[in-house]
Amino acid sequence: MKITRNVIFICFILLLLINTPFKAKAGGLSTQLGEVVIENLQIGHTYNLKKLVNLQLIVTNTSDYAVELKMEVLSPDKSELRQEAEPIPDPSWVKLSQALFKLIPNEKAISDIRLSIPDNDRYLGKKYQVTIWSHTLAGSGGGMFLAYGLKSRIIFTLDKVRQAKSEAVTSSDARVDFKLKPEEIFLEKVELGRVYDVEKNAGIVLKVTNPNEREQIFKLQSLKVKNSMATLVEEYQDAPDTSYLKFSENRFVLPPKGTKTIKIYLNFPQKKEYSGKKYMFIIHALAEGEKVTTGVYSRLYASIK
Amino acid sequence: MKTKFFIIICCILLLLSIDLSSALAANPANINVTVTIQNLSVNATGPMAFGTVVVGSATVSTAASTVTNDGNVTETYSLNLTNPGGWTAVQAIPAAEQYCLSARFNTTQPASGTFTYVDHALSTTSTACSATQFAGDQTGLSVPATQTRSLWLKFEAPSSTTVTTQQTIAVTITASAG
Repeated sequence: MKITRNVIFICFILLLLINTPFKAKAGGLSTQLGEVVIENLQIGHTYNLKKLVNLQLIVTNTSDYAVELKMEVLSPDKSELRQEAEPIPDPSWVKLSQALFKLIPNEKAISDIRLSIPDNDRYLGKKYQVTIWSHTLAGSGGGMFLAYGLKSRIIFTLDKVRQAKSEAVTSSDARVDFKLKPEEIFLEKVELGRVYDVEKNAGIVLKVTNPNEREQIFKLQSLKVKNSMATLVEEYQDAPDTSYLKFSENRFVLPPKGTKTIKIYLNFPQKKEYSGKKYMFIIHALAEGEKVTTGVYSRLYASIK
Repeated sequence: MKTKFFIIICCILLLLSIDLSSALAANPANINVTVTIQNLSVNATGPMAFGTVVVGSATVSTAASTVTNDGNVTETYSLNLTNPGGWTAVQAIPAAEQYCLSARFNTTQPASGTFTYVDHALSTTSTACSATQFAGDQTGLSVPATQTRSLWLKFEAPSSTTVTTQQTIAVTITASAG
């Protein structure tokens, strides 16, 4: 009896593991929404991020095969918390317009994100974080499968004061989907005491693209990490002085669908304390609006010679 | 009498000034929305290949899955599995109807004995990679954009089973920024 059972088991395992199609397939997902920070929301209001700043969760199936995709709203684990945020008190504050998708290769899953803040004074001035986990589901049939996932972070703060219901802003024509490229810039062997032209030395320029159908004013500024919503990366120190990072233009107007190329210059003074160090700067592009300001970050990492 | 009146007026003015400043401080702030991380992306090759597995044995995959950060920012991976209907994953030597699946980032095929339950055994909870978690001579922690990692799996079969239908085990690789 025992021998028969073991034979059945071995056959089963062979089915499970050997019957798996061994031809390697490439699978994956991508999204433009890695992390977004929303400041000064009002308690007692519901915000559809599409209506507020034209922001949706868009996930692309980059696999060379069809997948089933699920989007789940999760309270983050302690180790995942950033910027001294607390986990969202209840993930049900966040609703997605659609959570299950069937995607062919290169197809996009698009979902609206709706954030409802309860009308309770104890939430005034709080900072919360919520995770949206977009992941593929196991395929049918037997075997060992790989599935793929992306965790998008939403960090939001609640205004310290209550606003009259009639005055609260829950929609605008602001857009946060403008492009600032590249997202990360790594510079090596930056010399002290001379202007480092990033285009000449590394072949990199900044590009800002206006996706709007109307003209838009943009601003560029250099930030210390501690004065931004970003997190300092291990091995790097915060920028000692934001004036060391300059742009060819700080304020400019872009026509509808227009793109602007901006040159970047680093100018570290000849000080021994900077020698051999690694510094991180935040480049902040802002599109100013009357009630809603939108921004996008890029990060610049400079290793000093 | 005049002094008392003067003090009262001063107090009223002081109170008014406090009221006025608190009213100013209570102005609601404009909404700021900042996308701090763009373009999160992960890609991997699969499924994982195993040779013949027998009851109570342990097998390391014969080929690695190449996991690529094809986004534009540094990413940390998290790993979890989905149990098949008939078996339960454990982070110890498996008994009947249990199995253990472990994962390790390594450039070459790791020896079976280099996997530990504490650092490498997968569970249904998504667990972030660290300097030790799922680590070999590579890690899934802070993987720079465009870089690849090789992921190897070790399967420890149940000591015995009554399951006679084909099962599916999915290992999910999740990327988050940072």
